[in-house]
Amino acid sequence: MSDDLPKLSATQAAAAIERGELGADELFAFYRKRAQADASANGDGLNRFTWVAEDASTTPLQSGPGWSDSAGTPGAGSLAGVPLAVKDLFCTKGVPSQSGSRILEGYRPPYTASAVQAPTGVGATLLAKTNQDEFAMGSSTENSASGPTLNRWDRSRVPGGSSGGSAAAVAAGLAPWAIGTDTGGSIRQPAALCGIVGLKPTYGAVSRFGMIAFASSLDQAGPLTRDVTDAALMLRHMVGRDRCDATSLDYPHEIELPRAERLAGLRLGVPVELRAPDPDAAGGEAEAGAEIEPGVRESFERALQALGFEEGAARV
Amino acid sequence: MSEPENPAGGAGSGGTDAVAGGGPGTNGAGPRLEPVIGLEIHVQLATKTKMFCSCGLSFGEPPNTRTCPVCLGLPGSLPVANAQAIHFGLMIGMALGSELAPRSIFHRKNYFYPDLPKGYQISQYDEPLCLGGRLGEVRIHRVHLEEDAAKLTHVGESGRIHGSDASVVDFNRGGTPLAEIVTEPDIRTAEQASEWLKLLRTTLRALGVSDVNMEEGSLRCDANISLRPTGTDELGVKTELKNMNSFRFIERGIKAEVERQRAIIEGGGQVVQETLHFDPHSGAISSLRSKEEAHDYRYFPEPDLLPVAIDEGMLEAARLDMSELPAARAERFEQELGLTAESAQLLAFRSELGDYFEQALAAKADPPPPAQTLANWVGGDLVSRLGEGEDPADSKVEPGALAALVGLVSEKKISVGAGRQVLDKLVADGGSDPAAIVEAEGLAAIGGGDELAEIVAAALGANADAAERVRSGNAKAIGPIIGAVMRETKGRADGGEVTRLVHEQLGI
Repeated sequence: MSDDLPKLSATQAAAAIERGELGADELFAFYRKRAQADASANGDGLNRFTWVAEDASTTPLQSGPGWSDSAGTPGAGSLAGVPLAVKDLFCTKGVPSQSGSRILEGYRPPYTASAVQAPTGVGATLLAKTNQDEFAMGSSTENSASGPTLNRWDRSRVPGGSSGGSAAAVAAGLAPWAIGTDTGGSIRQPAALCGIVGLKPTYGAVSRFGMIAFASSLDQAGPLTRDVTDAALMLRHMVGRDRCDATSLDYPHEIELPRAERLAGLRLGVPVELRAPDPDAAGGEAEAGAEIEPGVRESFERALQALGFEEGAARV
Repeated sequence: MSEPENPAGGAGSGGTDAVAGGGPGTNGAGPRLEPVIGLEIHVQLATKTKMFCSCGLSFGEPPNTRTCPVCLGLPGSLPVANAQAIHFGLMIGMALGSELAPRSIFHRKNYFYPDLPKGYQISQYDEPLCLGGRLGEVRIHRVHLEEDAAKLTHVGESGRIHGSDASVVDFNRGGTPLAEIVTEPDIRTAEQASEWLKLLRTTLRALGVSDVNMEEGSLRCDANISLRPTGTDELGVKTELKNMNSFRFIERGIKAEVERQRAIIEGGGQVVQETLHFDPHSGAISSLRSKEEAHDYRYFPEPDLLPVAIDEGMLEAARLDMSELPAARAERFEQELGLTAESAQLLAFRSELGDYFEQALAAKADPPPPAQTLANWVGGDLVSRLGEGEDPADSKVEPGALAALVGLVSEKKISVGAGRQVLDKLVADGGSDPAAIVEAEGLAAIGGGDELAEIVAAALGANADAAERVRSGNAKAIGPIIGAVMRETKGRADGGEVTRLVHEQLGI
């Protein structure tokens, strides 16, 4: 099955493990080998990881009584042994958690962040900690004590940041999925630059307990995944009120996985500012449009067409 | 928002007689200067857990055993406000007649010190839980909630940081809930400060929100002190005096600082605003640091906590937990039971004595003890037989037994002296029936009959000199005669009756 492993989404892998068609150990060993190879490539790697697990047993589970009772959503489906890459700034019990900084060298927290405990509590295994801008202050993952992370698609380019290690790892198939944090774009922007799905949940949806803070009133943890279904599945297990985070809230309903096979009937909104003006148009518009490379423009427009976007359908 | 009821009303009558009058003691010439004193009181709240985490409060456990990532300030940890601490804060506000803020917020107060692992203390700044109020003759400025710092111990001879060999930190105390109570500068003398603080302590103890023990640090008091020409409204430059951990030290410290400032001003100098340390051993005052301004702390709203929104349910819960406050209780003892003001305050301000007194009164002893006599026995004879500060409820003396005993004494069934012997027995052995002790020990009063007259006659014969002096007008000479009678009767005779018989037999 080994050849097919990288093709499985996290959701598919979880289902395969539940059905007994895939061994969790096999899946973990596969990704660990890839992650370890990148981490030990002596400068030739893409530098996505700050730490890689020896085996699945390092997964930090419950930190102990009295701590966060956030442990995923019972009955919402198992994450059955699917390996997870976690941004360095999440505290993970006994595992280096330095937020990309040398200031915290040697810090091995005695507890695990709720946003990590939640998915690992329902079966996800901790694969690796991912590189980031120091204390999440950056948008390129160049400003890390571990050195810059490179973009899988073009090593001369940045993967975005600050959750660049998480985004680059998922894009390169070194981890089935990852979690990161977003204060002012730190999930969404690297996801875009690496060509994967990234989501910043509404503030308060996910517990911040155990996240080394950047800006407490804006920080949120969220998934970085290969597809929307994986993002929904991970988010389903991350959301909810945590008594260790006074700013967290009950999520009003269980997050559903996408079921529609076609997009017909969905209404798609695109901010007008994102529509690149035609470079052949006259005046200032053309000038602004000229700053966008033709390849990017074409790619964006193709994506809109693929989604069934109707030109000028409604302007609101 | 409804106005909370104020059970502290009329507190002015309580416990403050000693501070009335007095005034500033000036001994030099020049304009008379009066001290202006305000207090800042930190009260450790007796909650189950710390202010922002679920660690239990520490009572002498080994150092650093009551800690967690939150109260150690580890990266990634978040505070969650303790609902019981907010509840206690509301009770304090109600007791002091404060305005309870419908919405208050926590701030970060930033400063660097090893007892503060986060680098800031979570406190309240411009939107505190309680505003205004009054206790006795002192107005309250505000009451807010915050967290205590860890405990630093300086290893070395002096116990202070200067000259110490090492300083060690115990984080068990870090994060303990504190209510900070700030008064208006309404206090004028050191004695008044100490007396008022006792009233506050009694009030807080009655609320049950704190152990209020100064020696153990659950009640701590700093004083802001300045001087001004008597009769003016201006405020002089103030100093803040810290580390006064007993009522005696508060009086001594304030007095010393007032005299220090007086000497500076009368010498033509100017007082410098600073924080001072009072050394109770030497009585010396030394500078700790120049006083910070609020902006030095870079206060900003704590983003990890929601505003505290007080709703009717929280107010109702606080109201339900309010017990009768000491000032109101003293007034009730005076008005309804006819106790003297002194007795009423003694019993009301030491609530354990008041509780015991009321239980004894309710015991339906036969004959019933008069309230004032019972009060005297509880506050005098009983307390003097117990350890310092001991709760009589922890002694072997049952309230009902004491009531019965006082009934016997006041009905003159036994003498006061015999009553005290019975009390000695009760303190030592317990028991619920003083009359049985009276019988067993043969302590029943010797009435005014022939038996006592014969004993008096014998005593007069044995003390002829004294008898002669009494006869010639020296009233004090009766002492040895009464003493002899009491020895003979083992204290069972009534002193008044003996005196009457002596006079009768001497024909005066």
